[in-house]
Amino acid sequence: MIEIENLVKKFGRKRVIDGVNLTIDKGNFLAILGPNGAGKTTLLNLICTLLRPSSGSILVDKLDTKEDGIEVRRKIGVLAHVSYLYDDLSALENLKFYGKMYGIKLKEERIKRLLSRVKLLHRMNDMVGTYSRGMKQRLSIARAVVHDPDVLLLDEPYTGLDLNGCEILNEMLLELGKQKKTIVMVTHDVERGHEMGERLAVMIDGKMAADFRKEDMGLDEFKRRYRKLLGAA
Amino acid sequence: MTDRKLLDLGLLVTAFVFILATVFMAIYSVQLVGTDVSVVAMNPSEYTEYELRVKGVVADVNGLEFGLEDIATPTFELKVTHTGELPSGFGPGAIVYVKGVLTDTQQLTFESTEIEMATQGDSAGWVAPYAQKIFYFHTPAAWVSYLAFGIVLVASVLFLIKGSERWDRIAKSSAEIGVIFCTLAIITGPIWAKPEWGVYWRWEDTKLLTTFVLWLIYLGYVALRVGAHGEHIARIAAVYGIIGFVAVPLSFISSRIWNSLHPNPVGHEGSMSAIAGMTLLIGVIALSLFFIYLLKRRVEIVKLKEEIEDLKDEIEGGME
Amino acid sequence: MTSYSLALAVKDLKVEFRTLRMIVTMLIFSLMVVMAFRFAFLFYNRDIEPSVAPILWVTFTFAGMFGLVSSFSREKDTGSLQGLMLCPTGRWSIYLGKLLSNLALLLIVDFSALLFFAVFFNFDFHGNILPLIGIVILGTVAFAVIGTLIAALSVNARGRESLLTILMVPLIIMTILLPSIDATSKVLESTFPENEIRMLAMFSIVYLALSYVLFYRVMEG
Repeated sequence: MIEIENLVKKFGRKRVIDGVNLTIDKGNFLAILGPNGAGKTTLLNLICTLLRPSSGSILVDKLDTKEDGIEVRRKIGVLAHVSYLYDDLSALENLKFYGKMYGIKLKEERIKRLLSRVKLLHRMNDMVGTYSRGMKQRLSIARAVVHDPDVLLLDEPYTGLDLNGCEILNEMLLELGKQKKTIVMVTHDVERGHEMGERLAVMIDGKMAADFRKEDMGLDEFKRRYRKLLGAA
Repeated sequence: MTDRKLLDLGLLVTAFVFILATVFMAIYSVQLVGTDVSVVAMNPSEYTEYELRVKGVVADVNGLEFGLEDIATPTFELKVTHTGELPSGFGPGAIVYVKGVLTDTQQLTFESTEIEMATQGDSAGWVAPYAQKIFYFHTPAAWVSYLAFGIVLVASVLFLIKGSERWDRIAKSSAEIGVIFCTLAIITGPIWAKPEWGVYWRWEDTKLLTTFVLWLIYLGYVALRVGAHGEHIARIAAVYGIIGFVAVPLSFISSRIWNSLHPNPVGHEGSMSAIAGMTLLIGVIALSLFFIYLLKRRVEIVKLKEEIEDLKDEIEGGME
Repeated sequence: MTSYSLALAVKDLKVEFRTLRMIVTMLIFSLMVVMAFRFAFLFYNRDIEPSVAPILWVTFTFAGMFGLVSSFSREKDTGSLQGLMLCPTGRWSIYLGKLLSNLALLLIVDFSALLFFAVFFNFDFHGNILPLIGIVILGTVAFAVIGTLIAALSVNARGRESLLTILMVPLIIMTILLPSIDATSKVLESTFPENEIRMLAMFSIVYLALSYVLFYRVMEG
């Protein structure tokens, strides 16, 4: 569970996050939509402790990100448009390294299962530098869940993925949802957001502009409301 | 707002009154009397007859022996015989200088000698009495630069703890002004050192070296911040400001304690006449006040500049 | 904590020895510096002995700073530095890991430079080679301790390559360079440089303590 209270992040005088209050229940899939520069990525970086809040607080499973950064990071997996992978290590070595950095002893078997899940088992000993953009993105999906996190943060995860890759990601996300993992996805792609999210939040100018449940509206209705919100802002 | 301007103006006027007082006293009073010794002739092969002036503290009245602590090369012991009246007030501990003509380069004996007491208002005790006047600005400038760098340290620590941009602005401004004062000290030093010591700079002097290294460090600090703004660069600069100010004085102290770098040679500190001390004190007050004035104004300017940058960002953001 | 640092250092060194990106450049660089000194001293007929320590440490310093730049910058450029920051380790472990890998690289380069020097200057270290190695290790540890912090510091700033030199040189002149040179000279004269060793040890500890207090501030944000 993630509880965000009166969160403010300032860069200089600019309030990139301007008083956000948000509670995400365990096992919930929240899609955050919004235009560029709305503060979506900043919000994710604040949750995963890469940034410190200027004021307000974020609790991940009752742990404050300001004080228990290490414990919070242990619970979080991040998939961003940057892969975080090392080009000069093989897929296997990359996952092993990150496993060690998360303080878990990874069994070869589990790594292989992860790799076959993202359809890279046949190339696990090749250097990541030789991979295509899509393959790297697939591998970074495996990297993000290598420590079996309770919370998954996704920042425009579909960027660079081909159709096949998107399918793999969607399958995995559904599976993780079933395992009661909390998932927060940031995207500007309205259709993807609506397709995957159970809850749809709209962020504009560092504020939460709207918070819908998917059951309440279809894609067309959501698109109409989203456009209206953008127009108003 | 007008009150603050009045305060600033008052500060500036006071600083200038003190600076004028320093100039006046430096011209009309004074000189430093130190226990340090200066020898004019440095290279024996170059002279057969040379005027030599040596200054030292009298150790023994009867034999007129000099208690010279340290003489630059060539080192020698000095014994002076003197006929005639002794100056009044002469006795153990009195500071005197000896003037004579050197005839024998090997033995370094004097042919004719005069003994004079160094007294207040007498500038003959120095090899370069006029250049020495710059001292009343050199020392205060150096002192103000240490003060400025000390403020950088304190403000940087407070910025890292409290995260308030005000402390960052103070650190940044103080470093910039400190570098300027330190530059002044480093320039005025050699102007005095060349005629007095015969060299512009002495690398083996830990005090000079420390000041120079501090200057380099804060020059780096300023270079780090030139054209860059934002919270991250402020934090990086704060970290560097702290390391710099901790490391350099520590190396100064430890090299003195363990004597591992080089011994401190003839320093420029020593006993000072009351009036010279007073002049120096007024000089320190004058430049400190001037520094505070500059710091206040610089902090205001930095703040305004940051606001301009933020407004620019907002305008650009709005254009997207 | 140490296992994280070790994993990071092993990863860094594995990547380095696989690609040889930095080490080869550093070795060639140190060779060039030694060669430059060799030619500078070509017609210098007097005793070379007093110049040995300065030549060695100037070579170590510049080859070392050359290598330090990339210890954070490559990961920063590929984005994997953020991946490291997301790991549940204290920032201190990351500092220690980087310190270990930097130290390994620096020592390899320093010892190679020592060898280059011995060969090109036809210099015989007599029986002083072991104490000399000790001093080189001690000075390099101090250098790596502060160098790792400064490398992290400069990686986020503009013009980081030149900035590292600008920030590093004044910090090490009095605290590391002078005592190391004095110690090396003394060792070559077969005397024991007690004060210099004390000073180097003290600054290794002081810089390590400063890194402990300040490193995570550098990595924030």
